[in-house]
Amino acid sequence: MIEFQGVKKIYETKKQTVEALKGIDLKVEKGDIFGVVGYSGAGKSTLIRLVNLLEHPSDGSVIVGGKDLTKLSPKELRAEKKKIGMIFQHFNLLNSKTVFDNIAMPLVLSGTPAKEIQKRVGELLEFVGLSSKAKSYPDQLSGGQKQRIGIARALATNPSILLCDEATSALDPQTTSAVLQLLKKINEEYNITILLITHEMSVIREICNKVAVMEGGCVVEQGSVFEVFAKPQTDIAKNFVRTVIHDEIPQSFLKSIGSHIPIIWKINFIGTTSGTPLLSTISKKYDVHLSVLSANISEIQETPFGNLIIEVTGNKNEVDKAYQYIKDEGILVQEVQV
Amino acid sequence: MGNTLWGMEITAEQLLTAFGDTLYMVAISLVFSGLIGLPLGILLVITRKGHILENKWIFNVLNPIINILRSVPFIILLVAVIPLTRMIVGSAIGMNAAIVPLIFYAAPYIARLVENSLLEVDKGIIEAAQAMGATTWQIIYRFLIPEGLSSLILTFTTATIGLVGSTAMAGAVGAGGVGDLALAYGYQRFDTMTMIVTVAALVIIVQLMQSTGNFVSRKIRRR
Repeated sequence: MIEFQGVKKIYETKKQTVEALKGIDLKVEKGDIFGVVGYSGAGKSTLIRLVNLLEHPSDGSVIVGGKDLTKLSPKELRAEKKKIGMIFQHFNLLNSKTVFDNIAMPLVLSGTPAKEIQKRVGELLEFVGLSSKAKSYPDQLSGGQKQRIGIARALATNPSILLCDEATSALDPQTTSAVLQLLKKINEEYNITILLITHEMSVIREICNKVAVMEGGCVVEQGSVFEVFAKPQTDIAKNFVRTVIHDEIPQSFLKSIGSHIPIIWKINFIGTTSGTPLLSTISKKYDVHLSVLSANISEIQETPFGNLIIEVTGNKNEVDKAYQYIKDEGILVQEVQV
Repeated sequence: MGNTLWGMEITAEQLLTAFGDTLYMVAISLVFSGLIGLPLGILLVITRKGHILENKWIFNVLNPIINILRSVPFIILLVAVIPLTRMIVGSAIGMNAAIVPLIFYAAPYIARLVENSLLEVDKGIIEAAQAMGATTWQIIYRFLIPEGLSSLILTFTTATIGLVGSTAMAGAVGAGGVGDLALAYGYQRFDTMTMIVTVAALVIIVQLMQSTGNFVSRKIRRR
């Protein structure tokens, strides 16, 4: 649906040239909710703007729906852009126009008859749950409501792709969650491919099925959200994962250790295995004592994803046997050095 | 001097005519300088770097021309454009003759003010418009102007008031108007009462214009 092939973007000023993107290869399939995560300055904002040519690639090509947009005439390009909706961090609604007129704008631009506009905007308002606000002005709405209007506007021309530029970054956590659920609904009901950029890993966890991690103008890691959460490869990906999955050994425990060296295991449960009563089985089977230092279960892609940090005490032989048992069960376990 | 008012050397009729003349000159020159200044102002915005119609040539030619015109004092402009005025109006004196230099004076001023107003429009709005596939023309009249309208109204209020001031100097080419009365009778003939009345009249005109401008602008902004 969207394909980046060796895309580079270089900004040239009189004093210096900045390479914002250093050769991006990325493929977003139809129906994906593809998340790009990175700190500010990583190039993700430039990346998303290449899809609808708000920015032009310096090198390489961006293929959207099978077409290289840079090769189209201005007229063809405008037609293609109507198939790509976009929502923004700061909503970018017209303050001088009512909610109705804001949503109607893309339709007005393409010369849709008034009656049809009336009908379509009505549907969209209902879909985003703001039918009562048709005559309000954007500055009378909350942030969450504004973003819903932004979404309704982006959907007006029935696009097949929705680009979300930090769409929830200006919203509080609860509103963020509601807006994300709305995006998910759009993806499921209308089968719209979503490409979003964010600096919040929680957004990725909540709705994406694929993720790319960006740093310094490069995609340093990509894969299914599940893979990246379970086994992040790069340091930056690990950092991002850690922002939503807390698998640190508590500080208070580290302080209380004293001179003895504890045996600490980190166990990751994925999917159904988080249902098995692992700990009680081990402590019954082997002569070891287990104490939980940290435990955490979250859901990624509707699959439970848990991680557990435990301290193990007992004689070495039994401890080793218990360790082997967990491994044999096909559960990810590793020993942590303090 | 049968109809003199409050001991002034001028008649009420003269004052009224002057009032009418001032409004006439301001209105006509505002319309024309607006018709020239507005597009130029828009051009200054959209041809600058990073904007929708980025064009180094247009911007770098237009920008200094406007600056030069704006730095010429009105009284000099008045004389400098006389040949042109003769060509257009057929005469270098009188009310219509004053309108030509007034336009030369106000158009670049309006262009600059329009530029400032439209630069206030959030870049994000333009980005949204581009993302929707709006044409350049659509971006201007569906996004840029509506979003900058409240500020544009204030811009035109300022320009109108500027024109009222300039028409006073247009008396130099025999254009008439309230300002001319103030100069000719009040200042040059030491008629204090005429001076007070005419200046008061100008104050009232300016006040009314500013209040109307503020009101309309606020109405549009709805805040």
